[in-house]
Amino acid sequence: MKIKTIRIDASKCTGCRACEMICSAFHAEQKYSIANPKRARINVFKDEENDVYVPVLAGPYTDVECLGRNTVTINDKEYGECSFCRASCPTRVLFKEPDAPEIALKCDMCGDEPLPMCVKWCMAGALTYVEREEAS
Amino acid sequence: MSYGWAGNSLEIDLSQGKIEKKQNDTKLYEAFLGGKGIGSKILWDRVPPQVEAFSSDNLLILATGVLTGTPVPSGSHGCICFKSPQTGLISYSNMGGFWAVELKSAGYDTVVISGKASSPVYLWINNDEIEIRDASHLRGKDTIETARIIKGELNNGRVQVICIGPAGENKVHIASIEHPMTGDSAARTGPGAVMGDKNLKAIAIHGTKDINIARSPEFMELCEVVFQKSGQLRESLEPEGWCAMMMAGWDTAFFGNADDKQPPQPEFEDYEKKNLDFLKKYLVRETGCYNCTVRCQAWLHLPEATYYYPRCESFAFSLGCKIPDLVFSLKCCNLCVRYGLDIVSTARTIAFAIDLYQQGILTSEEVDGMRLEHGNAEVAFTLIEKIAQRKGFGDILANGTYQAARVIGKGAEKHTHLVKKQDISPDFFILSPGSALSLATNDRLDSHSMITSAISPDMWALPRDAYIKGGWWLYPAEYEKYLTDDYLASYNGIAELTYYGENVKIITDLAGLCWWWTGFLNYTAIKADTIISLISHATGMDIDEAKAISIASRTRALMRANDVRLWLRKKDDIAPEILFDREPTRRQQQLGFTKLDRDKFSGQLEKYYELRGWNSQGVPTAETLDELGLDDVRQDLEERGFYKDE
Repeated sequence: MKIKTIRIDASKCTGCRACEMICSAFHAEQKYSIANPKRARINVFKDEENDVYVPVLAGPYTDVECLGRNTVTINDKEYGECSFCRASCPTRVLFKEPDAPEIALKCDMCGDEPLPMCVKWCMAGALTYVEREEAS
Repeated sequence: MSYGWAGNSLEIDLSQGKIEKKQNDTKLYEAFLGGKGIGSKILWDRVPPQVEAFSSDNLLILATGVLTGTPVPSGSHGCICFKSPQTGLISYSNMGGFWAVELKSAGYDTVVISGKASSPVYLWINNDEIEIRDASHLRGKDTIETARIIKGELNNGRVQVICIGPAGENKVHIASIEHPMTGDSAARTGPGAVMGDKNLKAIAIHGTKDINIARSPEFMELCEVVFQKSGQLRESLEPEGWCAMMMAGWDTAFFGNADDKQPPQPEFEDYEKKNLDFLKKYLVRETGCYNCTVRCQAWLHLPEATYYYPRCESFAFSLGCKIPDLVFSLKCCNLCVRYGLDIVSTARTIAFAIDLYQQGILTSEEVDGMRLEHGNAEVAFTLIEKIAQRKGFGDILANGTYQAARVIGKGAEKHTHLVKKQDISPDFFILSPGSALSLATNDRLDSHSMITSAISPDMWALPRDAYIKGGWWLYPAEYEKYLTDDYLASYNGIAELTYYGENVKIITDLAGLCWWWTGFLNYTAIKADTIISLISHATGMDIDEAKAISIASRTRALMRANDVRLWLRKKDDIAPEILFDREPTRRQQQLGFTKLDRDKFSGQLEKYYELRGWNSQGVPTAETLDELGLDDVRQDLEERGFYKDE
């Protein structure tokens, strides 16, 4: 079975959020008729002062929040686990339709497109597309 | 539903604490599109000449472009319009980053801020919820800390913040508005001072709304083209990237305060290699504005573990203080960003002060006991702080060189290098007739973006073939005829090129695109026809080139009329004297530059007036204003007696 993968190289991310923009435009009801990064299925987590730039792709929806929370420390700065979490969950607004929070957003790898749009529009090469075989 | 535009604007009266949301007047937006077009119209209507820059009646206008926030790469820019305390003219500063897109996502094309708050406040725009919040805890905080605190208290990592530092709070005339940690500022002509006068420390923005595209298939097809072309442009700059170019500016510049007789010092001469080595050593990440393929910003991690952004004008401090060391320049830039000071004007003001001291016009007693000497980094660091805090001698410098010279007297005025009361940056001590004409005429005064892009095919004095091969920059093919072998000597075509280039930059600005790659020197990814089509497809309007030029001309005529109504006259449309009087540096001679010629310059200035439809005194004619639909402006100028001799 072919697994579609987006490989994220956080060191190359420039934080421009073109990925968010094109994702929202591509997934508009009428394709490309809107731009709205808050409706994207990808979110660039940025902490410029500490040089942390991490594109996070929207993962599965969950209706239960985590019971335990981890922290992640990068360059001596501690981040809540939610910063890099892919889930659309009750504790935050991320990866939900802004006007209809009951609708969760999830990356669909842009369906039949040859490349996911975020990969195509990532001029810096932070996002690359990889297919790998996995036994089903 | 509104296409291209968000469809609404905000009116904030800080004196009354009043917040009003308004639906856009469609006709107004069709006539001016956005950015400084809308800004200058509002300023004409609502800020009459008698209103001082530091008056509660002065307005601070945030105006996004018609393409801001749409999928077009680099559609990230917005304009901040106001009456300037530095020049007393109508002014604007164009700023990239993320704030303008966020504002449009919140549902607003324009925000008009009037009045003065009685104590420090910040504005919180969160979609339809608008709040004027107390900012007394932010008083005196630098810009980076201010943004950090606001983001923390709003508990929203996706908030965009623009703010002032101590310099703006102290109404320093050369204070900037900063967009912390993005590398973007609105800096020239003192927007930060106007914001400070209003007691407005910051504006925080968050929006979640859609920006709609009218003809999306056609629009996206063009976006793809822009994306590919700008990407190629970026690749052509590898491996060193844009930031190398940003620091390579002292090639043709003068040193110190430009008054010295000696040619460039030898240690400046291998600057190019030094810059590149420096970048390779310290560059940790390239960054850019929203949806930008080019990423012209860079983070440098210097030995003392501090991050710095090199700016286009990074070298201004090195030149002014004669310290050929990038670490020094970047430290100065970083201080300016934190205090919220315009880098160019601050560097020029310090160079001016050192020059006066060296000439004996200023004594140690007059400058708080300091010895203002070249080559001393501490002089610059101390003066930056004094200017930002208006401490001691810094209080005089805080109003920029034009006003400082008038306070100091003793011939200090001879040591200023100004265009319309604004000190020019060192990269415009360039003996290029095209740059000089643009510097003398454009509505942004000394603007490296406007001048190096709109105009100056002659700036690097390349042979004709090099321009043609390079796609002839932002000009269409029919402008090739102005590239004659003797263009540097004859000045032929300079008015036409300046006029055309200026129009393209105005359209770029009204659209909210980045000026750089719609024509920054030879780095031109797209020409005017593409921008015009993008505007048409985004809004659903049908704009052809003639209509776009008329929109640009309307904006230009309106700003000009307003400046004429203030104090601007033909005699002010002149490049600094030094460009006519000073012998070229050795490097400038190598490139073929000579001193500027007053007669030839005047000939081109008159030609430029003609092309613009202005009379011989540089006033837009009654016919021009009528044709552009600015009858009310014509009437106002008529009543003020501008046409009585005709």
